[in-house]
Amino acid sequence: MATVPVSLKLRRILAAIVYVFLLVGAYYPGYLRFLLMNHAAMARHYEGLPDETAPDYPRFLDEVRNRTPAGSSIAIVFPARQWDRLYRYAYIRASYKLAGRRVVPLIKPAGGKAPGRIREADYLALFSTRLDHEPPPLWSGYRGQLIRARR
Amino acid sequence: MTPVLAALLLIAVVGGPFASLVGPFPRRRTSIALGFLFGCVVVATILLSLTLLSIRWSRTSVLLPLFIMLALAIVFTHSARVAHETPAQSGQPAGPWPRIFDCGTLLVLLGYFLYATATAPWNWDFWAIWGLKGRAFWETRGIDWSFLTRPDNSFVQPAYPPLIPLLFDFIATLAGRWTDRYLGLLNFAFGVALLVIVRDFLDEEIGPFYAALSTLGLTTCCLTDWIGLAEGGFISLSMTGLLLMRRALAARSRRLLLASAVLLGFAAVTKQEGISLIIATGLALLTTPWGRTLPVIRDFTLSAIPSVTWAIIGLVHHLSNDVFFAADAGRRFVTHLHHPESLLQPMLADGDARLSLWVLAAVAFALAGPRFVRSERFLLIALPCQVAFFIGAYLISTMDLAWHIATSWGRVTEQVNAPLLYLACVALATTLGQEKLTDAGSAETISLSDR
Repeated sequence: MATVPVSLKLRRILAAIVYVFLLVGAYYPGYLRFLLMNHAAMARHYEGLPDETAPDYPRFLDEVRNRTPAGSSIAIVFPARQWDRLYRYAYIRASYKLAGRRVVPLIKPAGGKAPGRIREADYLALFSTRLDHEPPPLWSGYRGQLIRARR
Repeated sequence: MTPVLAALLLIAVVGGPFASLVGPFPRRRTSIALGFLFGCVVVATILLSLTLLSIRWSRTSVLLPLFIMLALAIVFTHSARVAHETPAQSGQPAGPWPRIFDCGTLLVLLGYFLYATATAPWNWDFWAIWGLKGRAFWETRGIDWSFLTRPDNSFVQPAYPPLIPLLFDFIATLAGRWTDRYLGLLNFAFGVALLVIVRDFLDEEIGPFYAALSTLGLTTCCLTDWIGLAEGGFISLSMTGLLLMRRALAARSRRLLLASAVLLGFAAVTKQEGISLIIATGLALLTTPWGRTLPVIRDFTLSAIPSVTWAIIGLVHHLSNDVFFAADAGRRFVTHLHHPESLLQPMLADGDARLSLWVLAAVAFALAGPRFVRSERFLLIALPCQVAFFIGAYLISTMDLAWHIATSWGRVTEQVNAPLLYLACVALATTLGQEKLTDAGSAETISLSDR
């Protein structure tokens, strides 16, 4: 392949242009914006991101955690019919908030309900939903109830 | 915030003696930054070892071996330290501009600090994988194998490398409780450590003006948006490992080679991409004469120890990794290969990947000339190899390809963008600082040449 002779001056001009484009292209001004933002509002925004679909759910789970012993098993009852929709969020969010307890899903990741697994649970955490003939709750609040399971 | 800051400070102190083996450096801050990275390695090793010995994590059980290791490291490094002079700072007149550019970098860092600590990490992958593992392990004061092997928990990717959850647990152990509010500080610390190293290494190579300006431009490539995830730790460990390897090749230094092997090895227990990076680095190393010598190959092989150890532990405990290694990987590879558009379209459509920067970097290397390209072939081979591994991983992925690429391509390209742009800045600054055209049509003054 033939080489094109390029003078040093031209090469330096080209290098300067590429350098400017590279630095400007690599630079993301987003973080500087945070210096001028209302920090309390920013914190509220990010804090709410994981739970946009169910803002009360994390507070409900915190209360469930406070009222259940470590090592207990808790079935999550959530108004969702499929794993990939809301239930995945509900189950995984509960796994984080209730770490140290065994969280039992009532919907299978592969699809379909698994109501029989309710027998594995010491407690039922019902969020924004009710069961037929449910026993009196141990606690209720934040649109949810904590019920001791009948085993 | 205080317990997290105390933990980060302790990590930097613990890694200090190990960093002193890599140096000396013109500035003390470089050693502190390297010390933080080596400290992460030490802390994670201790927590993992305690679990393997069935010793529950507590302040005493963690801090005792930590201080013993620190004392041994101080004694060892004191006796092993080679009597070498501290290299002088770049002799070029600095002027006011480097300070002005550095102030810009500090402002970006301040903004990043506000972002990283705005609230507890909020990303899905934090509370579904990295943070969840950390919290679950903290509850049992050790890696909870029963949690990882429960079929209901397969979503946590049980075989994923454990370094970041272990660092969360170190912070929790010092604090005496699990608190995620300021875990974003870990991302901030990794970012600061990397930027200090980048700024000071560039200073040695291209002088204070271009070093400060390039660092300002590279700042956001070294800081990851993904707070609470393993990206920040991985980028810091892997890029520092690559830069140390580049220096090892230039100086033919086995000391730097070992330091690089340690950091690359632990990058591989931070994120799975680290395993392919070790292979890519090894391949690139073999293209250099020094890299083909037996002692170098032997020393570099040490980088495989952390990930091989974790893989053996994973096999013993039956930890699953269903993203890539399911039985019909070959069939998926062939199927995806027959439909390249299913791969290329989502990759090219992802603006986060910033592929235009790769084109600019290629132009920068072309302008620097063939001699520069030859002398920098280590990184110029290692980085494309790593990208090829990313693409290979997509080809055998068990997930929906478009979804897998959309949710990861922008993130994994961040890992190669920072070292690639570092090298591009060196190439451009060298070209701009060139005083005469050489017969080879390339840069005459390359600090790290003659490999």
